[in-house]
Amino acid sequence: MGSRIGEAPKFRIYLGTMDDKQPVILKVAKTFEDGDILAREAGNFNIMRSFEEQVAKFEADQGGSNSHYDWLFANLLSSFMESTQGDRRINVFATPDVDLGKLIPLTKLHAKAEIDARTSIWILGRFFKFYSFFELLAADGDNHIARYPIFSPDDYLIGPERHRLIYYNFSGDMADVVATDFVKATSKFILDWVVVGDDPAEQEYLELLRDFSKYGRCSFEKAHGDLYRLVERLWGIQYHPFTYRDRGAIIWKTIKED
Amino acid sequence: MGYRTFSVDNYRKARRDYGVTQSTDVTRQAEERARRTGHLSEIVDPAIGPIRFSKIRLNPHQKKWIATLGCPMDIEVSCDTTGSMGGEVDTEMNVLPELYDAVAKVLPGYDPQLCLGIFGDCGDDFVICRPQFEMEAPKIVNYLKEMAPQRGGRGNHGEDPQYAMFARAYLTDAYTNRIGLKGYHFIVTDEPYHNHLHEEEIRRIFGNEIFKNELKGIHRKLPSVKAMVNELKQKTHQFALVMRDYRYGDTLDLWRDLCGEKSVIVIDSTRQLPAVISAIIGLTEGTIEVVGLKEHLGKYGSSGLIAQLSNIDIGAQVKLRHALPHPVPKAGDIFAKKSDTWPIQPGDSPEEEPAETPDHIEYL
Repeated sequence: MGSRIGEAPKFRIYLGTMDDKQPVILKVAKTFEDGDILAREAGNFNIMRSFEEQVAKFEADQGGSNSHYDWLFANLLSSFMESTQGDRRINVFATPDVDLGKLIPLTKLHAKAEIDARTSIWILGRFFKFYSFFELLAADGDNHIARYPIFSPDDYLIGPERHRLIYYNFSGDMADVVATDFVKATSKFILDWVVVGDDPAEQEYLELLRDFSKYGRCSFEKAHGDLYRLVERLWGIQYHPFTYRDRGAIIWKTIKED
Repeated sequence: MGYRTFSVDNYRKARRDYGVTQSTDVTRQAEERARRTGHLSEIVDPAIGPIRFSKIRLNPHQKKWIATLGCPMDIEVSCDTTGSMGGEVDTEMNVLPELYDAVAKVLPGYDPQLCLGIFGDCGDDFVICRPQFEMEAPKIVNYLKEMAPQRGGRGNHGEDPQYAMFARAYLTDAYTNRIGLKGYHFIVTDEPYHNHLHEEEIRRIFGNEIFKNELKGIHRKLPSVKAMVNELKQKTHQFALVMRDYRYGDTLDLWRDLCGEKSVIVIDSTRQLPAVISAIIGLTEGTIEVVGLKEHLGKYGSSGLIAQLSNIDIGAQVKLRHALPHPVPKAGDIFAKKSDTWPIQPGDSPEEEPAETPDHIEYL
């Protein structure tokens, strides 16, 4: 177990490494009783993982491209009660296909920096894609997940280099800001974060953001489609480095994939 | 004596000894006998000694008592044998070694004791068959072959498993409950239950004297089915395993209303019972991890089944263990008296009492 990187009312979060040197995130319940929410979280992550594997297999069987829903949430490696720690539950997560050291808590980055319009697009797109995964899950008769995740930016890690947004907390124990209308909520979160210039294309994008935040959409699939049709028309679908500036600063900086 | 457990060799030998060599129609003789005599075999008749026992196994040891195996864990499975499920005793017989092996693996240190019963409909001659909790192959093989499934069902929108649940709730003496743990209770069915408990049916199933003895006083106010299930849930981790091709559209909703969503699992086949039952027990006991479900279920590990099992109350028995005043008894623990609930704890200085002779200690 390594350094503590976060704390919620019922658990603490640490960085750690497995025996094979794989870096991991550990959530450790503060008390035996507090382990309940981590047990429920483990069940939910397990449902998400097994469903994602089913979707990936289906896509492979059909010869289609992989949607890579697995990149949208942390991979639960283990969930157990540690007898030497009073049977407190510990959940262990890895982050698929991205170095844990290149991830930042979303709220931490949000507090420190502003982002440009085109950077905000992929973040919003990732939110929509993640929640559309839950629409798929809910539509599958066998998969009765206990509940949709509430929207709270505290529950995500962001990887600016590789454009990753990773959901890693299903405990409901870290949420200061919660919402159940996810299209509206995520759009409002982005509106609060993004700096939009006078460029007509950016202004048109701003209008869409406002529309999302005011009216929402009937589905995430629909919201995702509306977003990327506009982006394709305005800029084309292409890689845009993570572009940000510290709050209060005027110099823009970028983080690019190695 | 008090050390024997289930083994595949004993199971095979028992099947040969009892002439149960076919994989189907294992209950044919018992069914014919029940039809002819109007009585069930007394080893599965719920009216003969209606209380079922699951006890810790103790042997005399230096004027005290020693636990020969660990804490007993009572596991009761009551299977629908009406209509298309008429052959389920055959399945139970055939998956028995796999079932025992699977539950033993997820209950390390415990003494798994199996009560594998069946139920039908109150319109049938016999509503339930309920054996004792057993842990040895010959006894389990023997009681399974003595079942008399009725195979009818009456087509009356449901069966009567509520009487099997009632039996575990009110007519079972389990060591787990004495120390503050819960056993396990599974109903396996493809139909809803009938939402009533009738005094006359209880007399018919459990014997005319039942309200004068074991259930003295209860007939003045029989519980509702819901209240009975609440009582059952106080004593067991209770689940309904519903076949995917259930007969009536409201089957799942009715079971979920009665038992709670987390306690209803849809399965494809009774061949899955060893894997599913052991997965439920393992998750509840904390001996298998939720991320290990796919491996545990093997060929049955569909996304849907994993999702349902991921939603159960994971670690529920661990919570109960955590609240116990003493560690769960294990093999080798010494009891001052045979009737004691707990073994002698460090620091105890019990009065010595002569042990009974070995002739008097064989039960179950």
